[in-house]
Amino acid sequence: MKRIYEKPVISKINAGMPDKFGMSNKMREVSQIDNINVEDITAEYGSPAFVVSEKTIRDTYKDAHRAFATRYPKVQFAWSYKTNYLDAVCNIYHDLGSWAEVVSMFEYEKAINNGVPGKKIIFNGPDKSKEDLKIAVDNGSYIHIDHFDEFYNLVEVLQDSEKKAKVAIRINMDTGIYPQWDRFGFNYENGEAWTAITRIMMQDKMQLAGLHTHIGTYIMTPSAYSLAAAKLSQLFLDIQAKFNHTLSYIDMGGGFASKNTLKGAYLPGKDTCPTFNQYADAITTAIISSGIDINHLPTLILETGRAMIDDAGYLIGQVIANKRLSSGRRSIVLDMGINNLFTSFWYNHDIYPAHIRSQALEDTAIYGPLCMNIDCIREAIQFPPVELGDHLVLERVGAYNMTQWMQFITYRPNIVLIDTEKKMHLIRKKENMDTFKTQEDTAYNAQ
Amino acid sequence: MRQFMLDLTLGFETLKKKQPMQALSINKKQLLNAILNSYSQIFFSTNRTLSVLLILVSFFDVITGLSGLLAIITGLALAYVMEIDKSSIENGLYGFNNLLVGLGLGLFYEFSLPLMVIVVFASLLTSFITFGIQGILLKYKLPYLSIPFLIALWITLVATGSFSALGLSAKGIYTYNEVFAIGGIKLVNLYNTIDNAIPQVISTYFKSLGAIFFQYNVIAGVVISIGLLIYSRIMFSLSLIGYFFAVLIYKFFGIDINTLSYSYIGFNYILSSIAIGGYFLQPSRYTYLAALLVIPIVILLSFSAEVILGTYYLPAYSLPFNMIVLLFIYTLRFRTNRPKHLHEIIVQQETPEKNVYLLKNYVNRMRAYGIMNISLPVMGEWNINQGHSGKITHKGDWRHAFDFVIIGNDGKEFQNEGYVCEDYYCYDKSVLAAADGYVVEINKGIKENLIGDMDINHNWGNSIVIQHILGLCTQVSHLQSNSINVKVGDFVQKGQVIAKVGNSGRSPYPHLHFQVQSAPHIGATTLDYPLCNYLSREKTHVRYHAHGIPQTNEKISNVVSTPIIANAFNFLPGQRYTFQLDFEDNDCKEFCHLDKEYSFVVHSDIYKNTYFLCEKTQAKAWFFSDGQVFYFSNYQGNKNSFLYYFMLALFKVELGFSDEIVIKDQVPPHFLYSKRKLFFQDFIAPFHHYLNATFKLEFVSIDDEMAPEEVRMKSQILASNNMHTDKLLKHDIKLTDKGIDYIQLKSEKGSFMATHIGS
Repeated sequence: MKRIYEKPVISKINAGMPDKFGMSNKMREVSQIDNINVEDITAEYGSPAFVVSEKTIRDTYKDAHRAFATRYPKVQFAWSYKTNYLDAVCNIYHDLGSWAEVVSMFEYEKAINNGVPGKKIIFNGPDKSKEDLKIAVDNGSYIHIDHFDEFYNLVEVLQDSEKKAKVAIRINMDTGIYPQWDRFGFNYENGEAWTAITRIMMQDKMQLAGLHTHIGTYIMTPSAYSLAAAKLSQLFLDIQAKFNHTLSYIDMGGGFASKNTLKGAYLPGKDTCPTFNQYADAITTAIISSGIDINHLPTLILETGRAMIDDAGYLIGQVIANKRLSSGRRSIVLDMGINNLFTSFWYNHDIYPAHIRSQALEDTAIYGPLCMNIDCIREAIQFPPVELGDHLVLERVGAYNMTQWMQFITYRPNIVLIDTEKKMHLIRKKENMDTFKTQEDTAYNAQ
Repeated sequence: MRQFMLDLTLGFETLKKKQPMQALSINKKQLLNAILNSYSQIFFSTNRTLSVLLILVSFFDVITGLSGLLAIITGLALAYVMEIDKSSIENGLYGFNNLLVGLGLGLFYEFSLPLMVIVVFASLLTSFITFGIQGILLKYKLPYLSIPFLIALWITLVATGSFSALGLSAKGIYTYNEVFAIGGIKLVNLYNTIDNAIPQVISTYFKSLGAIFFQYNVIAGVVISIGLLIYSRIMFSLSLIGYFFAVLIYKFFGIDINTLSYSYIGFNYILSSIAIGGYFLQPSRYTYLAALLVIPIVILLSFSAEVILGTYYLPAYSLPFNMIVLLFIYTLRFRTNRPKHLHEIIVQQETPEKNVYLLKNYVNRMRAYGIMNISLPVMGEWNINQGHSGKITHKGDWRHAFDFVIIGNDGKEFQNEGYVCEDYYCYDKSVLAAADGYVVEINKGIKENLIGDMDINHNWGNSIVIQHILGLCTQVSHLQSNSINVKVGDFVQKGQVIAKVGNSGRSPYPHLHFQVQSAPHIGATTLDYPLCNYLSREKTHVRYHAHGIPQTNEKISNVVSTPIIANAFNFLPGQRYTFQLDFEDNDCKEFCHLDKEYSFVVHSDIYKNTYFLCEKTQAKAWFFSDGQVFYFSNYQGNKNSFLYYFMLALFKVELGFSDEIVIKDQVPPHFLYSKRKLFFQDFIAPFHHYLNATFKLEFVSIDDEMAPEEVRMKSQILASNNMHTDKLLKHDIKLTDKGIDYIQLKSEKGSFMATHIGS
């Protein structure tokens, strides 16, 4: 490789020495994803591009499933559509046995479109119109009631329906974590949840099938799940005692942390976040030891999204500029920014060069391509020197980015899936002007 | 030590209780049955035709016959007065010894009033001895056979020798006189013709058969052998085998064949052969071999008994037979391993043939049932990395053990480098009680090994032993010390979490050691005992095992039952099910023998065996369910009932939904073939079955796995004669949350729909 001139800088030599947290100061390179060269991907699909690894999805699912299924007799995963609702991705989960967990009619339609039977769809979320509820009832989907107004709507819908609705309530509770997500569902401690249960049990056309909770997101203490599972199990027993009714399932929702590192965290997520085994142990031990008849345990539903897919997503892009800031600090500008990477608002994403020129790391700010000040991927990272056109790889971007991305300033890029046979498939086309022409109404023209 | 005999407590009863509620009052029909069965019981049977023929034989000499009948009535009267178990009386169990004593006395003495009085009291003595002997042998689970007869007749004969009012008779000595008495000179001539026409060796066979009823003549023997043939082909062939093999041995040892024809010895060979070859054991090539093997021993016993008893002028009668049968059966009980051959029959069917047909399947189906079902001690899918007789440690007395681990996506047992226990997938996973039982021994406090290390001093590591029933325990080992959450004396439920997988003791890396054993202490000798109701997966192919021994590298998981299916097959005593039959286009075709509506009621007998009783036909279909698998075990009675088709459609159902597995089973051929078609099959039944029937069931769909309201299944019965299909029945079955909804049956010719319309 031709050596390129770079301005001299003075920096402390720390290559190879661990820092005060025991972390190595060496940068590793990520030249391949599932044995395919990063350059080959951009050559075919352009830069930037999202890459999804089917192998990682399947392996992670099996790890998660094994963690629960070897501790609990009846386990069912439901794929959280909002985490990543690309059809190709959803269908891998459905192929693995996952149901669909949706929080809007849009996602509901997507699930139906993916061939998921209505009976295998869990309809969550605070926003379900009467029309939505009617469709869910007709399809026999599980409706997780979020608030009393939704309950009243459902009562109305059922008045004209011949079918019974299969419902659960979402319950929020104090599990010792902050913030307490009390904006969703009915509260456990103040008795609202029990009131909701009683009201549902009084409805002839509603069948209370389960209990649902979702204690928060990116929960780093499994013991919170333990508490939540214990509280739901107690409700399960109370319902059995008072109504002689046995629920079919307990839905523990999601919120398992992935291996990404939150902003402000001292240590990297991969070292501090609990494993599936730890979550599984906390939840299953709590249910099994709650006093529920072990031969008639309810199905345990898990809606974890982030921890299932984060590792399977990559964003690859190229350097479009090297700059020095006024302070003399190095900065680089990439062709991928926060428009693609919504999660960079809360994670310090791991970013690696495809090829390393030198281990002389330097404090660097990494910016995206947008003409907006907020477009910053990393404010400060020890990074090796890179040149224009060098490939960079962002790891663990499978969750939320491909759904929460913005069409802002530029088009959204291609998404490529590498299947288990190491073949590439374009699963979502890059946008172009036609995308917008189909949407925008040109009838009104001021000219 | 517990005997590991084949303990098949199936749902059968050998008699037909018609009016069980009429306690104390003597029902005429029961009395008649009791008398008839007292005759056929001599051949271990309750067959009508056989009884009638045997009565006929006993009355060849009217006095002998009468005296036999009087003895039976006396015995039965005593049994009724004492209020003995009615079904045993009805089965003739308290009559056949009395009958033999009566016959013996009737033959020995001339007719007189004192003789009749003696018969009555000798019969009472026989009954007392019967109860005495039964009481003794019951403890050893042995039958009393004809021992009461032997003792009672010997006693009576010795005692009555000096009763001058009883005149000795010459009957049984001068055959022609007796024949003449029955049918005059014509019969004597006929008898002569027959006797001369058949070789002596064959006529002696018939005489020996007749001698069982103290009728030492060819005609009696012919009648009895016809009765035997009608009753059971297996018994008939065994009677020939036993006798003629004895003749061979006589020749081999140079014993005068005439000693066989002039003594009451021959029937010992016949009865021993029948009892060992075809009655007390499940007939097979091995029991036939055993029947041959005991013949020389019976010869030894016979000759010695003759000599010893001869000093008291007493005949040996059936002493050799009684001795060999009891000794042989008792000897089998000392087998320590699960027997592969010579299975004892616990519940007798009407004929040995039915025993063969039913038990052929049961041995496969549920070797372990009746004792206890042992499930996998884990949840989810595990891998056996060392099975029975493994290469590493499962050797010698401990060869019947299993090592469980979990294999990850990459085929390895661990993630990362595998340097710490936590890297192993199985580590810290829950260990379950494999069946209900009491915790009898715990070892804890042993620290866990580093990977690659072994603690030979504490071989088993932290362990728990659960005693499920006396003589059946399971042990789990190498646990984490502080994970053991039970104490000695605790009752644990099947599936209860008792500990976590660890790495203590002789364990270089985390794994779970599991073994079944008879003694309640850690490290006891292992038992070759099957595990029940599990699935094994090979890549994507899943197989269901009702029981089995998982092999090394087999990937196995427990069956989880589906509530809607389990509920549909949870038939409780007292429940009534009514089905309405609709024929396609109102054309009944081959099902015209069926009515439009049938009701069954679930019953349970005193041994808690459960059956459906068809109200119309009184047919019974016996079933069994343990919450994980449901199956029919037997069908008795009229087949012109929907119950018959109901049984065939649901012959075996695994109670957990899985669309990946096929449940297969074999149906006893006598459920599908008529007696006529089975006649030749019966002869070779212990060796080969050319008439076979198979059952296959698959789950088609479930509407909602979490809260299912509808499950559909399809099943098939295929009866075939080698490659030729005799009968093919296909069923579509729908279950709802209210139970079985309908069964639609299609055969090659017709079809009907049976809908469950309530109780």
